[in-house]
Amino acid sequence: MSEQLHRFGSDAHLCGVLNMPSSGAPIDEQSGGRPAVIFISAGLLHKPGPFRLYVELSRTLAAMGIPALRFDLSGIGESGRSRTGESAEQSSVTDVREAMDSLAEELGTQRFVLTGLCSGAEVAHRTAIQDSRVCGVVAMDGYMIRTPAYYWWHYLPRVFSARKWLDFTASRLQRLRDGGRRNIENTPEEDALAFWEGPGPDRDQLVSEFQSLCQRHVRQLQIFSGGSGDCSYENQFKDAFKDVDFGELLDVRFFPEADHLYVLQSDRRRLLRTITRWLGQHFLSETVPESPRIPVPRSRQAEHPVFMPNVSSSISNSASNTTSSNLSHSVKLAGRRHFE
Amino acid sequence: MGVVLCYPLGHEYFRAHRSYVKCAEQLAALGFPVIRFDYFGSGDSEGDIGHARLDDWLSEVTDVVEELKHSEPVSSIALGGMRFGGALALLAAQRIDAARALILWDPVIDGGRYVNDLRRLHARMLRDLERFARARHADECGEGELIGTRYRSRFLHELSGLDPHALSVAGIDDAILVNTTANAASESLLRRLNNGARWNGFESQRDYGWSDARRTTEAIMDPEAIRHITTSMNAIAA
Repeated sequence: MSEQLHRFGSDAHLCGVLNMPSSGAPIDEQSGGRPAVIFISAGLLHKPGPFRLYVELSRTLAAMGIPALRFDLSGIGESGRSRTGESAEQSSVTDVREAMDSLAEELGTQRFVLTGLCSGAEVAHRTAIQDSRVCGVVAMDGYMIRTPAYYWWHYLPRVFSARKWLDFTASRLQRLRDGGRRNIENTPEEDALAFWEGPGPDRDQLVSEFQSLCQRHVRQLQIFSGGSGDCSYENQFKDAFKDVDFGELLDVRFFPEADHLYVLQSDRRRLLRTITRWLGQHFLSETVPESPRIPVPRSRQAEHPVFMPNVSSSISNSASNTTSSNLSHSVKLAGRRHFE
Repeated sequence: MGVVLCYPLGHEYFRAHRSYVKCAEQLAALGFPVIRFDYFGSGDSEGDIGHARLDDWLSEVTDVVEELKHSEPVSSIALGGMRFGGALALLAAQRIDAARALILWDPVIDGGRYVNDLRRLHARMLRDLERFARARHADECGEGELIGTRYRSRFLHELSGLDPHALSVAGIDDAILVNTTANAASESLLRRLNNGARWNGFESQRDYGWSDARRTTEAIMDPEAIRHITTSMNAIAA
């Protein structure tokens, strides 16, 4: 397996890390008929993903024989901004399409599985709608509609939880002390980045889009965490979109105990197993190991530094103008928007 | 003068990343070559943090300084970092002859206290019902797991051994300090380390919520602190 920095995009402004399987074959043969997997950054979190989730997934996939690219969308992490005039949402879609162009050129593959969490899942979906090279989507806490049963399963356990009541009371008291203000005030820059906080597509639009993906035989793995706040039972996604004929193209997993960013290692391992097994089942012929884990030798030695440097040199053209703003210091790394 | 920025640990790395990018870009716009880098087992770099050693990370800072001196025409170096990154910068400065300036942003200077704070924060996070649908138990976590990162006990032991009384700024001409309200106690301690360095202090009115379990996924945004760092660096270079 190899891992290298990958610069791409119309102005070489996008930055990612490409993990390649070590089959020894030429690059365009390494991918074979397999798709490459692309991990899309989530919110303000950059390409390693929450607690290095995308690093672990990329390395595991490369060890399984699947090329994997994790990258930062424009204006996030190490990626600069290039184009103007596009909405933040469309700019993200263009970024992902440029990632596919770049991998198509480098690997010879024309099939891609897009993976994202939260806003990254929404970008994966939006790109899949627009680009026929997408053959699979792994969405973590992506689009969801709150069904009537959602409220039952969401509030029932809370009614009988003393801790929840204490928590609720404490939060209301705090709000009274704060004079009803929320201590979250974004800079214009963060508002522009956090496009997922705005209104999203309505249910009818989503139904139509999911139907079109099914007609193109795009496989989907929809994963939801209890911490997202939008999913409270296993079959909610299927209930919410019951008039879409997904057939065998949809798999849904619900991790009720996990938080939105999978902070606990045990939750992350379950998530990693779920994703790698699903990819192996649908896009590889061989069996996926029970607990995919790459032994990483402590091989760093002084003669070859192993750090991944990100240089902002004096010739950098991406200096920002954020010094004029001092409004905000309280922006969630990966926020949620809700659909009713 | 070149600048090497050392990242914080674990969840604080993710919280700080955007500020580091902004700080580096603005220093670069002023003409300073800047390197940020991920330690072995962190961010995008090779390895697993379970195999990390504090001393190896210090060696990596030295490697990066050599890399910067090799690739850019710089004769002196400013080492800097937030939280644990500040501690690493302080320690590395004692090994690097070219180090002339320090940028300490809410630095951790007492390793034992820091590890204990992380343990308390992790315990509170497990009970945070805004994050989890139900409280999680400590036995659902691996040994040494603290807010998203699982450290070997050896590493935590090394971190705990970080002794404020063993720190020194000998050989440093200038030190830039950014302290937030929650970290104000460290300034007096840092001033005691003064061995003739010029100090450029800045008291940020922000509370970054280092010990707030509900803010562990919040990005640090403090343009005023970055402005203090860049204007101070400009003054030092002049």
